[in-house]
Amino acid sequence: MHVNGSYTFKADKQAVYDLMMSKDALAHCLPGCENLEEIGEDAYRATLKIGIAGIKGTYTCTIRTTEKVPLETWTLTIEGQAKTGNVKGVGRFSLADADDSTELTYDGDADIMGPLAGIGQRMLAPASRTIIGKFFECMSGQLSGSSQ
Amino acid sequence: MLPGEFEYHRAGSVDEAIKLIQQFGGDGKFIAGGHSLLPLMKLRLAEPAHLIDIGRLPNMAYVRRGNGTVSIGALTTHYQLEANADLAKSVQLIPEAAAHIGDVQVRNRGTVGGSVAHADPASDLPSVLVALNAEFVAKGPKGERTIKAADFFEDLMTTSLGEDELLTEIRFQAPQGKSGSAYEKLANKASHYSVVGAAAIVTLGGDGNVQDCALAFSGVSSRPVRATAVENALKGKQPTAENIASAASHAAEGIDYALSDIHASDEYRLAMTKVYAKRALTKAVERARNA
Repeated sequence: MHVNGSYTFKADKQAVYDLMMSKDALAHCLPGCENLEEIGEDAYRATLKIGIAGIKGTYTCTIRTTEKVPLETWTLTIEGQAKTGNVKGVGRFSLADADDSTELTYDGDADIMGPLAGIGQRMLAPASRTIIGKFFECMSGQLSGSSQ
Repeated sequence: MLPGEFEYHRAGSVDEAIKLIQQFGGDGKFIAGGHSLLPLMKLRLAEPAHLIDIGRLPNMAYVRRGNGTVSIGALTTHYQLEANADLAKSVQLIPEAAAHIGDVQVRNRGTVGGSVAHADPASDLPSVLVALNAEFVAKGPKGERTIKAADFFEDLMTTSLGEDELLTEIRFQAPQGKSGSAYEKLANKASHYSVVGAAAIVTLGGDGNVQDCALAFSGVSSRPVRATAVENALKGKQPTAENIASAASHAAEGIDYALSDIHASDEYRLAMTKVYAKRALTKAVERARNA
């Protein structure tokens, strides 16, 4: 499944980049994050309760940030395991200056295996869109919170 | 396939159901007909720890009419809507849409309240109720409130119902005067879920022009969408085949996000909105002329 989109933050590149690399912000905004522990440089292990409405799965995830070009671009790899299926997502993120703000664009692929992939297929794309939207909204909230 | 472990509670009244859901919070889930929730539980995609059965609550399956308002109890089954003679005369799109849902077993057990509270984007009744400007009555610990259709469906499987609120009734104004309505659906051949479903209501004035019309789609976006561009293009016009086709050509306008899956791409879905808008409006106009 291909996933792409963009989000505009009302802040400069430095602030957005720092935010996206911040362990605390991630722990707060990753959907249903129950714990986030550092397992190496730019690598985390997390338990995420992800889902829409009553359909939630608890995923044990590893999250890695690689190919970092500060203030410009980075790659995020998330591998998750749950009872309902396994997920592997690789996404390339990049930042661009816009008027008084910074536009973050993401483009990636997610592979889903297990029952979730079979019967949940119809719902996966719109569900990921909603979850990603909520994540960025939360991150954006972190930003306005910290600048005050 | 078997569901995960859960505890079963049967509520004897609406108030008891609300007390139970308050007690269990996010771990509890209402169950009525079970035709949306149980398949998900058997696949272990949903694992509520507590099921609160509201399926046998008394006096919640009805279709009533008074002062032009139609009230439908949340536990009314799809079959009861499909077979309602009064609705078949005046609000044709409801029995028509209900007849398209799943198969006979699903229609006999599944309820209108369960279907709309589940808010599957491909289910049929949500777009019908959005076109009808319906109101949703929700009861919670703080009492009763009414939610407008435009505010009810928020996103994929997400409504504005609170976690501790129970949907009890759906009501709307029956179309008046020379009115007709129709539901036309492009169904997935295997699941019968809508790829595109078009719900149309047309009211003709004394001069035969379209005095009022409403159009909404199921299956296209993550929630039911109203096609205001089509409505505006048709209002005040003669409902000729040409004018209907020209109005229907605006069907995809204002849909900022279209679903895309192995059954139908977003491009195909948007193209089909025009086709099904035309079919539903044509049928609704025909019925309005004969009203």
